Amino acid sequence: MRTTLRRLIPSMYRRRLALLAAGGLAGLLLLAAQTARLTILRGDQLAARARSALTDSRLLPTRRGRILDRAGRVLAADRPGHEVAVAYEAITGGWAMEKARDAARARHAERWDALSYRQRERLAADARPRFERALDRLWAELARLGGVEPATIAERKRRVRERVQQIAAAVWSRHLERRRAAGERVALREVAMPIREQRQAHELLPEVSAETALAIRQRIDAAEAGKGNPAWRAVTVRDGRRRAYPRETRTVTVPTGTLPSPLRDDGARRIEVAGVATHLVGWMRNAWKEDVRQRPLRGGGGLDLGGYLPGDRVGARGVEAAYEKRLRGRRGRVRKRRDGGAGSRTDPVPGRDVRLTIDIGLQARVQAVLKPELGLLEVQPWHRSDTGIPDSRAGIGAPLQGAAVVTDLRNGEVLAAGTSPTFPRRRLRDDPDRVWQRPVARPWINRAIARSYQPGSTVKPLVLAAAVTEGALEPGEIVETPGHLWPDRPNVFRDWIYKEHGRSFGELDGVEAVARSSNVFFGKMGLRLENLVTWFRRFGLGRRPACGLPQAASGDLPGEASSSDRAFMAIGQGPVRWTPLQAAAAYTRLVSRGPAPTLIEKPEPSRPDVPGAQLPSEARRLALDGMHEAANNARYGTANHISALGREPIFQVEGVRVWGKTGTAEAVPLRGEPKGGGPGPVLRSGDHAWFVALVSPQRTAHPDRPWYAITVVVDYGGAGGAVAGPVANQLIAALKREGYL
Amino acid sequence: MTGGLERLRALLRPHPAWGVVAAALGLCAIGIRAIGTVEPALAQRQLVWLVVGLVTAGACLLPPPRLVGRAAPPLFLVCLAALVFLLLPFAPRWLVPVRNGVTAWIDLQVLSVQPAEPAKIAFVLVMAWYLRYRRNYRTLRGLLVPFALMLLPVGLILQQPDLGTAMLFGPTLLAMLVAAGARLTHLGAIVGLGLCAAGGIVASIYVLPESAQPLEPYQRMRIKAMISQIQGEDRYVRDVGYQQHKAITLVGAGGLSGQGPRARRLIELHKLPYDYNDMIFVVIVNRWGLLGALFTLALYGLLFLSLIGVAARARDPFARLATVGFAGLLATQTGVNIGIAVGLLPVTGLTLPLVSYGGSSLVATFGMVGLAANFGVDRPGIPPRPSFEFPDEEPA
Repeated sequence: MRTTLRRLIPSMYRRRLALLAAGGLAGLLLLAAQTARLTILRGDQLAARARSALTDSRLLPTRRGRILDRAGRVLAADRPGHEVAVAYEAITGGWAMEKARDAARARHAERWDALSYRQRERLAADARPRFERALDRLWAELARLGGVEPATIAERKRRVRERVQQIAAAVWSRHLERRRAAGERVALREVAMPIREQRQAHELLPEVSAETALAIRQRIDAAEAGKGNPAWRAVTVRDGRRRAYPRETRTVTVPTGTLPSPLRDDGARRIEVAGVATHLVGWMRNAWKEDVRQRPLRGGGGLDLGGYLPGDRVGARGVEAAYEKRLRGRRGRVRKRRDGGAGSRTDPVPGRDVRLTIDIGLQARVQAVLKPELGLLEVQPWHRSDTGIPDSRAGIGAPLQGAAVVTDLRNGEVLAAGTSPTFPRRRLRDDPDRVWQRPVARPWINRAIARSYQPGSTVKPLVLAAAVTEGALEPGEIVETPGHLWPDRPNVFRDWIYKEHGRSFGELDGVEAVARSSNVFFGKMGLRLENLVTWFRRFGLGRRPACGLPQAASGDLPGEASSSDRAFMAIGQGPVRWTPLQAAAAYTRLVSRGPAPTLIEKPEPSRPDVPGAQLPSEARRLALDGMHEAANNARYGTANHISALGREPIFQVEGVRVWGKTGTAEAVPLRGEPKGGGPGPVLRSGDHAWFVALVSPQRTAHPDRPWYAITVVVDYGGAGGAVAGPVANQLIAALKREGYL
Repeated sequence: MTGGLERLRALLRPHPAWGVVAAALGLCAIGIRAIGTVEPALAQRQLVWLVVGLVTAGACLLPPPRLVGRAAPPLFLVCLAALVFLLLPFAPRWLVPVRNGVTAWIDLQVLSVQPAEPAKIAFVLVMAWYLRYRRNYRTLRGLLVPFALMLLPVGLILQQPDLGTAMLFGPTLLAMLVAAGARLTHLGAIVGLGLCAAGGIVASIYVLPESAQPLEPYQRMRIKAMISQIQGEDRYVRDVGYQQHKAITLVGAGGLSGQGPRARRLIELHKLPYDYNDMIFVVIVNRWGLLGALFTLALYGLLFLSLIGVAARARDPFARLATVGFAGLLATQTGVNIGIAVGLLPVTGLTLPLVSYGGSSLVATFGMVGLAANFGVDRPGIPPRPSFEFPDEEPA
């Protein structure tokens, strides 16, 4: 090769020149190849990119779907409106200096380059008063057009400045820390880049009328065209659509006549519920980076008008979050070509409505009953419970937490699901610590569907039905119940009568065992029923209910259980927990074999068929008879009266037929943040108080068929009958007042 | 006088120098039309500069090479002095203005001069003059002086700072040393070291902490922007990567045959910065497409090959090396400029020779064209002894 070359070009100098020429040509070929790659291979794509940059595209807002209650009453809806926002630069006054600089530069264009920095600033300062006056006129006119005092505008400006400075300080110190942690030596001023809020416009007039918006738009247009006050160019009129929750606050009148006697007075109590169905309906938040990343408006595959932009509002919690996709809708778009080509328009598609099975009137009543100020969710002397509240007076008067679910047994529709405490949505913004920083009350939890508890004795009717169906107990079979389940262990698994009086219930049939709530009887059922776990699963335990809300908890249910576990599970202790909603679901299955309970009409995904707790009518009848006895037998019915109030009946509402079951579930104490090495301090301890009431009008075609199920739980409330029972009674009263009974 | 006539007649014989002139004029024509696409007023002024350039080229035809060579060292010193003057802290700002943060111009009120432009030519000439009868550059130690001579202007220009112009000296010197017969192993080692250093600097951007970075922040950002652009990301397109992103978009939009007259509006709406000088190649592709680009590249090919041809036919060793130096200078500048425009190199300010708008650059380039044509003319007289021929080209 080399010799050939030497023979061909004898001169070394010329060979070297040939080498250089070859190198140069190779370089040119590389450039040609890259140009060809860009123009031919990527030509179409890049041409499209070039064209798209020539299109002015404006997005049109859409309307988020409404959330309605079962009667079509609006619980959440977008309220159209306009808001007036002003660029941050103008709010701080920096706009005047900037414009003054521009003006000075334009006026002295020919010698500007030659001027020193100081000379330029002096010229700008000369031009500045004119723009400051323009700003002053702007504020005055905004106040006049917006119908507010000039002082209000000044105050709003101050608040915007304060907030933006706080955000900026936080952002910068975070950047500084991060970069210093990475070993860089940076000063604060190096990271103090303008943050997004400093480049944005901020709202000074929220919710102005259409006429005001028009008047302001005209002034802005004039300023853009170089007429009138130039400061209007810093103003924008934005779509001020807001999510409104018109039935968020409701005042409910509760007659005191049906309350436990210590709480009664002459008339009625007016209870204001701020936050009706807040947990169910949910609320909105600003889009996170993750939302935008997951479904960007402008993604790799072009424009997705249903996608997200930073600053979009997104459903947080509840139906707003779970049905985000259905509610959201799609933006519209108008495109105009800057080079005069044909534009296009895509109309916005409004979001679809979501209708709940909730009756908002009943919901408000349920939540009123759950408010501590009525007295039922306050520690009362007659509760006789040890709640572990560190207080010299045993915590009397301390608020309790709890939840209640009201379900229509005939179709599984949940009519109301209340949790206590609740809060109005504005508190999330104004005083978030009161929502997120309460370790005992934990207001953010929707206890009705998302917190699971040991069920306690409320599972006993279900176990009875299962035992009869399986043949583990003959209908009418008598079972001997000594005071404790295991003969050699008198200190565990006892009946309450043995604990308190050293006696036993003796011989019991299933109905009486439910009515007396015998632990030993059901412990024996647990030992007999080897497939108890399967039966619990059939009643919906251990599975997330398909109620339409993803935050519904599945509770706990083991895959299999030892015989002693089964004994405990049969009395609602041991490794089993459920939510009030699951309790309602289980009783729906016991009574009606109806579909799974739901909060949403047409939920997504649709409600599955109940994997039939195929109960023979005999089993169902025995379970219900037991509950009927419990509620109505004044002698031994455990769900009949409050012993501490002189055997005062729990149920005080006339004209209804009730079935009931109490539950007093031993619970793990609630502890605070661990301090030092040990566990945190006990904040609450004692039993969860449960009550399940089934109810129908006194006279119906099928008197053995209850219509509604009410499940109540009070966290660390104590005895089910005394604490949760009066709540269930009030909910029956509420059902009656709302016309359901 | 007969000598002059003789030279004129010699000029009329077919000769590679014709190729140089033809290519230069062709490129100028393309340049003026491209400038006219985006800035019609500047195209008029470029036409005036072309006339000035042609006069300069004509003037450069006259002096015999030896005279040019003798003048090279003093010319180089003058250029160095001007470069130093730019950097003097007490230089008056009316005479040495700061434009875009760069002190590269001497403002003589009637016209601005960029001393780096003549400095490039003076460097080529002085290097050719220095190397013409030596052979010690075939040792590593002998390479020290040429490289030291190169570092003088490079260091001064980097202080302006004008990275683009400073980058041209190395490859130019390299081309001259290759032609002069320096050992390829030596040059290869030096180039290898340089590439390693460049790679190290690029790597350091991602590895070293802020306080230990060798490059200015804006230079680092540009390199990062280019690498991210090659990776197909668009995170820098709104700031540092803006220019190159726009450039690539508009190049691609040119397609095979270009946007034609529509290109003007398209480029205007895209607000491509420096479309009339640094980014003129983008205008060419956008308006005349890949075909236009290939035609332009072909003219550059003709220019370089003709220059090499002139160098090959020249017998005077100074003329040979000077011509190779011009070719190296122009090829490097062309390659870097177009490389930036098509997204192969990070953005730095550099004009496209003969095509971009700009008086200093155009006149300087025509100076080189004139000198090359001058060197290409066969001269009567005693032929010099053969130069740059070493029998033992590479140690076996």
